[in-house]
Amino acid sequence: MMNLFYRWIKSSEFVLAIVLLLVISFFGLLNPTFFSIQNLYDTLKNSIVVGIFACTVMMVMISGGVDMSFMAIAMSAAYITIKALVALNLNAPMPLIFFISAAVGLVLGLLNAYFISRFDIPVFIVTLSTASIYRGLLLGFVGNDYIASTEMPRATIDFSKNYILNLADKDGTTFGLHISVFLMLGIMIFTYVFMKYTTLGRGIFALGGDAVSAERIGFNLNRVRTVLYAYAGVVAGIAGMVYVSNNRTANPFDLHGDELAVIAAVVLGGTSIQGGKGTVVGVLLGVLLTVIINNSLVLIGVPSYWQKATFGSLIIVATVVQVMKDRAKTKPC
Amino acid sequence: MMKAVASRISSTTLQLLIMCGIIFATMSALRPERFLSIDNFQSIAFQLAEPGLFTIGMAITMIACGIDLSIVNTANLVAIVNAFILVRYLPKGASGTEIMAFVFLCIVLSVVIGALCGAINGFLVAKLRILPILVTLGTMNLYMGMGVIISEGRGIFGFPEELLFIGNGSMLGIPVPLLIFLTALVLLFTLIHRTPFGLKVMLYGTNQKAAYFSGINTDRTVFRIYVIAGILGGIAGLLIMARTNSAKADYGTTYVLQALLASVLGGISPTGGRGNIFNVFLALLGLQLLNSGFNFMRISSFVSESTYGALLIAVILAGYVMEKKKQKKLALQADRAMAGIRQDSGMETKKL
Repeated sequence: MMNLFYRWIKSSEFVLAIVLLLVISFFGLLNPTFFSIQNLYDTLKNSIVVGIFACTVMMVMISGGVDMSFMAIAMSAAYITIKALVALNLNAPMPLIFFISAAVGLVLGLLNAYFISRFDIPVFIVTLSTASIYRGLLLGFVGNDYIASTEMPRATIDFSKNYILNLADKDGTTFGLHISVFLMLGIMIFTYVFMKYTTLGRGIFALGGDAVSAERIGFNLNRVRTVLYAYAGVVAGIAGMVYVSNNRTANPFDLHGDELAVIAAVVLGGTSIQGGKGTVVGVLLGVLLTVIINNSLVLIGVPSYWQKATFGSLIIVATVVQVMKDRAKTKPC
Repeated sequence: MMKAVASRISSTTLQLLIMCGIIFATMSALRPERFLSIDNFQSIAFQLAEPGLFTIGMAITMIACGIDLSIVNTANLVAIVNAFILVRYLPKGASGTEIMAFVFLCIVLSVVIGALCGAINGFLVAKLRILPILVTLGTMNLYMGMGVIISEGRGIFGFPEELLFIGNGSMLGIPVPLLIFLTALVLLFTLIHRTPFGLKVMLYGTNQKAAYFSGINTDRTVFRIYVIAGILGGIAGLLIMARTNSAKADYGTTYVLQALLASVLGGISPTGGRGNIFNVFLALLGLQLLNSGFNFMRISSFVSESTYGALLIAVILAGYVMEKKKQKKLALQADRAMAGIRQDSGMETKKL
């Protein structure tokens, strides 16, 4: 019992939770409105897309690679879906829209898997290239025009207005928790269960820990990789659709260049970039931390142009701390 | 004769030369009147310098088993600091010598700030042993953020003619940026392929432990590599501000991908220890030719972006297939040799 408690205190999630609490109390002291339910709801809503992406980025990172293509896949999947629905003038229900977007994501994810497992090219290089291919093809051949909210399928607009647990503030305006927060939590729980309790999930850990050993134990590495990138594609497709429908516009130039912010959140959450280590809880905490810091600097009156530098320093400090914690385990390259 | 030449050139160099040749021939055939014009070569010469400096900077960090994602933001930070000083402190009606002094200050500052940014990267990578990709991911945001803070998120414009000469002028018909780039290229090539330091870097990239145990001060070697990359970034920053007459915190972020691409295309192994600076230059040249050709054929810039990715995968696949073929050939030779030995020993036993 004592042992378990000790282990829990030493875990990176615990450290992260303490940091998160400190950050929250710091912002709360400087600006009391930080503690309002409305701000809580806003924070959660702002972390939805990053949170969903973070799940797949974490999984790929556990397998020992860095995914750079998830945003390109997400935007391609969502934009292709919306464009097709608008062109066909279909009034599809929201689950079907999500399904189509996830299916497009699946195809793109499988393409990643093919290159990575068939030719054994480093994940970072493959996904960097496929990201540029997907984005180029999307903008060059599918379209580069912006789809305004008036043209968007009705179901997506309805989805974006779907709030629950509504409350009213002093002025009488109501606010609520956006429904897609539960989508994010659902995906996180699914990822947690998948990684922890299924053979394939354990296979991903094994692959990141030591690919040769994993193969000797009897994991079919190609199958593990295929499932991993297929799942990453599906989740990216869903994330893209959540992003597009919550924005109520589909702009194919969006979701570009922020890949590193998500990766930073995942690393902050204690995921090892060398693979083999990472938890969903840690990633959730990492995502909340980055979202809170990014949003709350404005809330306490720091000029917005300080955000980037703060964020960069945060990543450096966080990784220094992580490395100091398990210095003994660093392996070359 | 041909054979002698071919054996001296490595297969990667040959591949890249062929690639450049094919691109050049295709573009010349498709749009001869515009592609084969002096204007076009002039503009390629001007455009080559910035991505070139970024690419060789990226390449040396990759040889040392690392990566430098922050190199473009180092350049932008340098440009912004220089621009800030010029706009704030250079008096309106300054005399020629005063302006020259400021331009000289800018050049010195570019190298110093670049080296400083590189030193921060180098310290974190070498001393604190943090993975380069994480370090430079952080410093990339940090340097960009510092640029945003100094410039307050706006672009800074309007520099003296003397500075703009560095980015737009020509000496003896050769564009100044190209001259700077070629000097850097030759210096770096000598450093990496002709000096003990370069050998240390290569050894470090191949096997860190072996390098350490053979008595190389690995920390210092890695630190220096990042400082050099930072300096290259700083010089690129100077060229950017001089060529575009502006400094912005988010300029040219796609250069990072391009630098990575050209490095890998040029045969730099992403896992370190292998590569040739000259090949990287050839890869870069090929990409630039492709780019300008696409421009003339009015292919949208989006599609050309996607050809970058496709080209990278194609080159890696070609390398993979050739490697497999080579292995097969070696295996076949080994089999034959084994068969020969068996036959020989068989005959010997009969004799006995």
